[in-house]
Amino acid sequence: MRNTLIGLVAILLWSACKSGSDKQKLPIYGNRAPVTKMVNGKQVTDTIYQTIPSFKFVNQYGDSISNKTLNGNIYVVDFFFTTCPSICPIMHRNMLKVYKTFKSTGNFKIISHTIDPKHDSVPVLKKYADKLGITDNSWWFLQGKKEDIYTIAEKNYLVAVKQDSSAAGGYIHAGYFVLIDKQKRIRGSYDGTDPKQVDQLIDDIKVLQSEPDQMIVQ
Amino acid sequence: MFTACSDKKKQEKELLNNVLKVHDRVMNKDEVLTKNKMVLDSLLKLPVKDSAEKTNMKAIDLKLASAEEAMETWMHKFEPDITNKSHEEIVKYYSDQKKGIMTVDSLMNAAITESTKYLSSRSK
Repeated sequence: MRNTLIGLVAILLWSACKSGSDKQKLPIYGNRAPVTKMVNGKQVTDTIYQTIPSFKFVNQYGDSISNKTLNGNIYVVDFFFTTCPSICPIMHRNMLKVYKTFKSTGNFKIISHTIDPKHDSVPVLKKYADKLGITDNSWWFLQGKKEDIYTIAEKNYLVAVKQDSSAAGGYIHAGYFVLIDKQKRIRGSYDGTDPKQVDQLIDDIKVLQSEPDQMIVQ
Repeated sequence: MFTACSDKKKQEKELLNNVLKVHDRVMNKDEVLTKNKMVLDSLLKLPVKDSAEKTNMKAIDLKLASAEEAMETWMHKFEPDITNKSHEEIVKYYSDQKKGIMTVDSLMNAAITESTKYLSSRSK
């Protein structure tokens, strides 16, 4: 009996430690490929992870924003449109919490892509940002060609959502927040309409901030 | 009196939720529609020898564009702010909007079905 108890306690302790260490490391989503290279005369196999490709959009101030502008930043991405009457106001009320938590920490951005670029021009986005109280450069509302937005969403940002979901299609208007690390890899996706998942995102950003900077993709 | 008032509010909320539910469903279809339109637009840039084929492709492309435009027009005009409107006005407004978004839904369904069928026939 005593031995059984000791065994039980040991298992409990082990699993507690295990979940604790898992929490400190976020998964890396997307495609991956092994590469073999020579380091100091030794053959080493490394993993190349999917990263966000180059893009070019315009923010609410009329400034051009590319993948390079985001170099060295942890960032959160979502998709919305200014006349959206349903989920977007809830998403952005929740995103404000993320914004307020990290706006002063540096090396952090939020980018919200409009999926209605015909209507959501730069002045419309500026007005929308003003209404939310965003006047700095920590949260950008981006406009670009609809085709470009849908392509980068489907092939890159929402890859993690697809990996985790059995539902077919229809992800861009599903309210997801996607977390990208400094190496432009996909590290998480969260339901932006659910305050609990948004709190998880905030915790995960802190985990990413404490990760050592590895080779940063330029 | 109080119950009557809360019943009216409940009815308004249900009507609005109904409209928004269809709207979100239609928005998700917009993803497939945009994808199909992108493929078709790229095919239209290539030389098409058969003129009947080209006419058919253009017709499908136009249906996709019209459905997309109908969706955009609806969402730009929809006004969720109902301040200063009477209960009757609100009920009428939401009921009309439901009809409007249902029409958009049918347009999108037709355009998506036709374009998906066409594109899958080409990939065979």
